[in-house]
Amino acid sequence: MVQLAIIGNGDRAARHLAAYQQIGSINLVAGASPGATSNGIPWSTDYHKIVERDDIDTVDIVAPPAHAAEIAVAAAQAGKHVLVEYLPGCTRGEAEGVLAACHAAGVTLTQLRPERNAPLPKQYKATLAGGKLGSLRYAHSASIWSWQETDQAANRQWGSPSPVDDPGQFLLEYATGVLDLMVWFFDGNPVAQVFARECTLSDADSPSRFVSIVLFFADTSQAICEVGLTDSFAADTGIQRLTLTGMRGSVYFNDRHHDIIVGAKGTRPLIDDPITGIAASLASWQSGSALDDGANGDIGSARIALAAAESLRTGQPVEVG
Amino acid sequence: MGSQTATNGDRRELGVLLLSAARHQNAFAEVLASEPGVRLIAVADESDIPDWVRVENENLATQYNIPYLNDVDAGLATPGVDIVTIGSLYSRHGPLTVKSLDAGKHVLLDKQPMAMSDEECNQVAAAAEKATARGQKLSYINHTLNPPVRRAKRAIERGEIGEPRAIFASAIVTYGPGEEDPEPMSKWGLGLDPKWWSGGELIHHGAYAIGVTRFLMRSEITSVYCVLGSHFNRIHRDNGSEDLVTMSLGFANGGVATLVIARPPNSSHPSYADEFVNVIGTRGAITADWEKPSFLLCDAEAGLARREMYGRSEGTALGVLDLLRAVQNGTEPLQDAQDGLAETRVLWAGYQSAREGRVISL
Repeated sequence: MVQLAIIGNGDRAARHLAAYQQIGSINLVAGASPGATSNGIPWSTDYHKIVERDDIDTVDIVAPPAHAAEIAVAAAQAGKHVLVEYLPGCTRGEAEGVLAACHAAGVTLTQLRPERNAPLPKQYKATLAGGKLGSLRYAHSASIWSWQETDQAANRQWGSPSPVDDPGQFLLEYATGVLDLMVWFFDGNPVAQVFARECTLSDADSPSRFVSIVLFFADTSQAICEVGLTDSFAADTGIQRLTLTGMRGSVYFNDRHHDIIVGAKGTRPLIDDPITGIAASLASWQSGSALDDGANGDIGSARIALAAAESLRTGQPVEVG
Repeated sequence: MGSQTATNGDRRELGVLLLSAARHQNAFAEVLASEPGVRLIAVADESDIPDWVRVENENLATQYNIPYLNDVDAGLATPGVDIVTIGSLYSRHGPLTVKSLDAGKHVLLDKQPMAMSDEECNQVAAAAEKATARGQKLSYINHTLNPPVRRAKRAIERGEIGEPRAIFASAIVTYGPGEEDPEPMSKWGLGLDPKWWSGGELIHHGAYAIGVTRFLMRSEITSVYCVLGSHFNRIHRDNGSEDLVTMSLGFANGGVATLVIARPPNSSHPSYADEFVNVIGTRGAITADWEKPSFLLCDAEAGLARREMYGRSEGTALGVLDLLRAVQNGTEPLQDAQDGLAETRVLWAGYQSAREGRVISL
């Protein structure tokens, strides 16, 4: 039985808490986040107190990007195994620092990559692996959802920079998963260049954000990732599309049957329950199935997200080394 | 200048000069020939055109029993010409448009590009400005006229989705030569070879997506990032012309758009093209899909999917009639020279961005 602590709050933490219950072999011992909460377990607003507890062996970090790397390093230095959805760090140095800290401490770093274990992407990957599309050349993902006030508030509790207010933090928090998915789909095809744009989706006083990221691969294949959160969609409604086109065929998932989604009139449920992917990833981790833990010091697909965030800052495409 | 006065519904017959049959002119002629009050006058073209274009011109003239003039000036000077429809190679679009406007004619241009360079754009703009002052009309075949796009625009203008903020536009055609080895004089070669057309899918179809995006965003494009690839068709790979394009656009209102233009041939695809646009606004989202078949036949013997064209709006006819009605009624076409030139500049900025690997500001 894993003795686990969770560091984080908001929607992401809630999904992890729900996934633990599906797994059953995780004992949630304690948690930490800036806001006071309990979830029926010891909870602290100071994560240091939690990672240093003797009764935990693993820390699951679901904090915003600006804080996740620091927490991961502290957990490693406290001798705890580290779980993250994707390698944290707002810079390449931070990401490499997490890998180095885990390696130095002799603890494992596991990237759960829940998007890869969600049902729809898994089916797409199987279709690709079966050769039904031929070599992949183009992909488009669109994921635009409602942004709940509770999640915004949870993010803001951590202070600045926040994914609510900062486009780069938003990208790292909400687009890293789909970027990793593209790397997975394109299976070893190196990304040469990344370009990103962002805008708000609401009126000035309402928090909302949208990023569009273009991946240009070394062989000139292309992928487009659109991620947005807005308060103009009703809860649990949104737009989700995924298209892959290869040399011999295409596969589509889309909700284009809607012509108009306006505010509360949208009632379409989420296609994939995000908890499923997290639970599947945790199960794989527990079973010892190979999950890339970055033991070789390579930050892997994190470099794509970091390049995209840099592109937002500079307004120009970024070469990916 | 050709003009007409509508009095109690009576209209003077409008004469049409068909300038070059390199592309789509037969479709223009078919629509116009069936319109009451319209007469095809002649086919005309420059003298230094490729032989295959000359053959197309002669065939079109024979089909409609009208003269073929190997001289554009002579064509424009032919009595009774009010409207000129230009279906030439793209490289001749700009000069022929300027010449036709300067001759006092209304002009319908086959698809973009309206011009091949900034200098040509400026020449067309200058000619169009003078022509507009004289009451002449200029338009071009585009996709803003498709009913789903018009419906989306009306919904946006009514405020149903608030202000448009983020757009995704797809202009992916599913027909193409694939691995066929189309030499320049083959059917596919005449349609796609950059030897005739000066580029790949960005020049063939990019402006459709650019135009619809600009139309629905209701703001000018201020920056362009573009990447090109050659993958799906041997003709593109062999010639180094693009059949996969991604464009990222920034707008004056702070909005963003991402466009894909491609030609991955797939005979099992249920649509002639995957052409649609998603618009996310401050109060909701809307999708306009103008190639989704309204009639889909699932034939168990033929296979899983079978493409049917019934129920699909014919963009060419819509464009021709839009210009014709503007001339007949003294109104304005939906898209005019300013729109066309704005789209053209974005198109060329796309090529520049791809060449230089950077964002181009407009």
